[in-house]
Amino acid sequence: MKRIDTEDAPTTMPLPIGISAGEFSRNIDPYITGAAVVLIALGTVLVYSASAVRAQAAGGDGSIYLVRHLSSVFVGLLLMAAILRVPIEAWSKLAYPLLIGALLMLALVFVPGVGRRVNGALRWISVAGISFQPGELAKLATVVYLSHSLAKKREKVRSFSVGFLPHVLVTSLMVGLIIIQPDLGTSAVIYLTLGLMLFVAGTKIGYLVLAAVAALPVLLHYVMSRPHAMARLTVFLDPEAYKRDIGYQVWESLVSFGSGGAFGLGLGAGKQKLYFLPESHTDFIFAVLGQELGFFGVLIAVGAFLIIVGRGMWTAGKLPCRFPMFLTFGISAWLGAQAVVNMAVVTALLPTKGLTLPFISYGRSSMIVNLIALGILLRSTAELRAQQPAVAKKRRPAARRAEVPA
Amino acid sequence: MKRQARRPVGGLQDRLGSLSAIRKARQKVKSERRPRTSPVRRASPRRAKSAPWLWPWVWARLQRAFEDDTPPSRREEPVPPAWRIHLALGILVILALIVVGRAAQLQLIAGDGYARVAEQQATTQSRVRAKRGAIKDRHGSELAITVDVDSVYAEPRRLGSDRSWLPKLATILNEKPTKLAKKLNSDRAFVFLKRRVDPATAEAVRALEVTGLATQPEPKRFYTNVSLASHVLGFSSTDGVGRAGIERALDDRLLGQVVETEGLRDALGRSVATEAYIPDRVLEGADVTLTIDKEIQHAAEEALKATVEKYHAKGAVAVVLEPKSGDLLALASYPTFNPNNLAGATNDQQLNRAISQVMEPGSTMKMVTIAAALEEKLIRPDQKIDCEGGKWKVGGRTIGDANHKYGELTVAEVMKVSSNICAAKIGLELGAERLHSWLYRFGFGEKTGIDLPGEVRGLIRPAANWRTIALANIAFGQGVSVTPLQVAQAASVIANDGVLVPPRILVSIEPKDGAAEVSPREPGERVLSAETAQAVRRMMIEVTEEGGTALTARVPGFSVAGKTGTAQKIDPVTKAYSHELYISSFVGFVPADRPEVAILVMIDEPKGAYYGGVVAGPAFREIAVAALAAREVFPEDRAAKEAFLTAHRAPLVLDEIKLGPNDLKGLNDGPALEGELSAEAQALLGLAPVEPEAAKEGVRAPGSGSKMPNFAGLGLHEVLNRSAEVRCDPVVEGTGRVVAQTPAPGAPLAPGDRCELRLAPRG
Repeated sequence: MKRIDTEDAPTTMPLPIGISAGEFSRNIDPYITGAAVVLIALGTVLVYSASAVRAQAAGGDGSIYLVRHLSSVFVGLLLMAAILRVPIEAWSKLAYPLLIGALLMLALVFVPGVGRRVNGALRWISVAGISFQPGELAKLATVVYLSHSLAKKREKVRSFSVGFLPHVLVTSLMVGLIIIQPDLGTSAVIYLTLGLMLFVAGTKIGYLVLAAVAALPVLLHYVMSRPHAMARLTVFLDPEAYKRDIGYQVWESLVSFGSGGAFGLGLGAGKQKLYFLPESHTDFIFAVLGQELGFFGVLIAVGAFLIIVGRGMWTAGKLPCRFPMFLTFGISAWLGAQAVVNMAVVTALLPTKGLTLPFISYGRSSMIVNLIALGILLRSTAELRAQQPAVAKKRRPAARRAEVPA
Repeated sequence: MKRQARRPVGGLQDRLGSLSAIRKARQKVKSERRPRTSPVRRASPRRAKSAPWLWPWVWARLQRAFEDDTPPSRREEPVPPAWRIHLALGILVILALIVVGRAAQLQLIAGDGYARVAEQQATTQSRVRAKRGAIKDRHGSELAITVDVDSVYAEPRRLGSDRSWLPKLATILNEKPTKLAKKLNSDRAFVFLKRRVDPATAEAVRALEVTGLATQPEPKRFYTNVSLASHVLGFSSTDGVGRAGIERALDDRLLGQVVETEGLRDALGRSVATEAYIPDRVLEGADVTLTIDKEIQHAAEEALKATVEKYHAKGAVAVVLEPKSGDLLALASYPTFNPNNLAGATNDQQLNRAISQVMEPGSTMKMVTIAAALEEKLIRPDQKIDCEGGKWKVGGRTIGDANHKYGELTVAEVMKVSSNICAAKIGLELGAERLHSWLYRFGFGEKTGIDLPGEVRGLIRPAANWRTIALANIAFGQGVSVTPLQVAQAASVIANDGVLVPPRILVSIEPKDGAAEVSPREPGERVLSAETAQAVRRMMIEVTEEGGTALTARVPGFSVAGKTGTAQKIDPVTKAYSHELYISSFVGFVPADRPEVAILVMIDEPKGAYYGGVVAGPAFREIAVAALAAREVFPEDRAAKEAFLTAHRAPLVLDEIKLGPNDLKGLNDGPALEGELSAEAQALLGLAPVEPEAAKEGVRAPGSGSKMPNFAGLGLHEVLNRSAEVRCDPVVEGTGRVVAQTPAPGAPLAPGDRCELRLAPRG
């Protein structure tokens, strides 16, 4: 079989290919699994709580969103179960197919008849009755591509022309297609993930700063030229002053979140979802969580995300090979970035942008893709755990030793 | 099976061990493993079966792809230093801590404030109120009920930008499109466009099928008999709070219980899930049963209306009581209003004249004076009194008996022909103290305590302030102010053989969740011996007999006891007792021997006639016939019963009984007073509202001979001046000079009469 990176030496190690189910279940990471279960359970309850009144008003059946949510969780778990059996290295082969597939799907959004517009944004493709949000896939595809490419380029990642520019350009192509939908949230998360991955790969911090400085005028122009982006920025600076019009959502989000107090009003008892808070079951579900479970619930949710992200990154730090390490780190960084940006938006620390809260928000594409990512994460931790007794201890000296001669 | 199949491949740890172990083992493992991973081996059915993969072929490809042919040395390509990963993780942790800090600020520090905002905006302000109770008459016939009527509302936030339906909606609701557009463009979540529309309108709005435009049922109070008993029932405001009459007096019982839904309101202002909060029936307001008899009430109102129209009177009152129980069978006040539509109702129409307005009773008071003197044994029924030939000077003033000059009369005859002079003499015999206390014993000067809002006490000055002339006047009913209901109550004392039973209007209150609360019957208080009451009753029967003042009040087949009254009113301009403005009344009971009903009829400012017998008598008769028929009291005598039924069936004709010359002779119940009242007296009586404009402009008060002037040829300006002088109400049509007028020049004219004038350009 022809390798894509024939020029370079492989970056991978021979890997355990057929891990038995028993072995696998012994090596599955209990922390990540537990945190994910907590988040998905929370999400399921909150989606039902936040959507029941709306669903009843729309169609009579209050559980319609719940059923859809559970169905996407189910589909996601099935896919995850399959992905758990795919060795991490296999994703290296899928990097370019995934990248090209994601780009094609993003382009399809703009094809009349296929693309579907929701709330003024062209984010969906709808074929044969099945809708999908390519933006969600784009995040996964970007992370896999970057992992592959960064792993392949080895120490050259430190150079500008080989290690920095191509990744920024490819990612920007992806983001470019996303930002014209427009979808600022996904774009921000992708760039944030890119930044973190480049940083970890060893890109000079100066390049990253340079990129940020270069992006500033572009961002500024983007905001200034789009009334709704400008409005969101204005509102962000003072939500209460605009609570009757453009700041309505942010203000209601704050009211919702703040009114939870220490322990919340109790699951299902929140009132903001009674049409006060738009998107309460999707992008703003964290506000419903804040209202119904209070600060206590926030700590649980943030803690669960930190466990997933921390555990993922910890695993990445121990993995002996470049590609699994980048992939594990990239996925952790992506999930963490998306969660933190979503939470910051809900608590008005950042201007409003459409972004789901992983594992909690209603959103079928998002849930499925997030569960696929979780599958990869679990796989890589399992692989590490399987090797841990020997590998984990020796990795550090190996890394240090590598640094010294370089 | 599966495990066995894979055992040869080796455990993960075995195979990987450590980096160096792998490196060393690599060559060996490779050579060992190759054959195992060969396509042939994998294609074997056993392998495929035991493999967990659903796509063995794909798996084979993948597996091969991972086989590494890199020299071991290159495998040690450095992985990036872990510190970068840890730093990245640290950044994310810091961001997460910022979020947690923000959450603490929002929830723990500012949480109470946000909680209040959330509570406020999600708590419904529109409390749910259950249906108001019904008001029924004594036979259970509903007088006021509550029905659900549709109201049209909009939710501006849900309306789209397409407003093409607006003109249609404006037509349906009969509103200006601009006015509607203003409401629709408002910032509010919920706005009523028109409340309580008829079913057809509501249906038309629904047929528009506009999102955000809908109807919802709202309770509406509905007075089933339009204006019937409107002064008793009163009315309630659109939000269901009693404002007048029984609606107000018993508001707390009639009101449906308010359900503090505590409940949820969504952002569109709709209450959410309120159904769950309303228990089924306990919340509705209690029903109320009144003593009113719908039929008698109707007859009373009809009689008043006919009388007022005939005499162009300002107002009128009729009160029908059941003497034994005090039950108020009818209370009619004219003019009336329609409580279903208060838009055009004036204060004058809403005034309950029976309890809220005072009047000088006039000669009807003589029954009290005479009863008191008899009870005090100061006079005997057959005792003769000198009536001074029709003019008597007392206390520096002259009082008179109109139309007739009487010599000596028995006490019974004084009552029958209603001599003011003799009544004054009896009053003087009683003295101020005793007459004063008797007035109070008959219930004057105090509220009757009926369950209706707005009752006044009337005014009786302290006896110490009564000068001789005042005492004389009070004896025949001038100089005190009383309410019509008090007069009817006094008459029922006589009818009741001397026992005063305060009037009542409430039979029972029937809560939806409990037993009916029957209002207790008061036993009554004896204020007069039965003998005296019967003696007065006999005198009062004579009033309606040949030579009496009230032949007009006779009821076929029954004897009627009663007393006429013709009170002079104080002219608001001259502040003197007027010879133009009267209150004509008749109070009596029937059948005289075993009274079923006591009836008072009072006509305020009749024009063309003023004697109580002439003006109020026929109305009394009409009401009495209807009341007796309604209570199924008929004459025993066959022929008399026929006559009664004929009278009952006959259409309402007030002047059915023609008065002969002799009858007129008996109508002595006329003006008694001359001269001005002191300002103090007027103020005390509260009888003399001064019309400031008229007083300032020095408009001449019309004499008794006010005539319609000849307006012919006058211009508009002169017309207005002249009509102001004669105090008529000009209705002008056209421009130019007057070419025609109604009434004709020289016709008698009463203040406030209409004078219609047609103007045309000259030539």
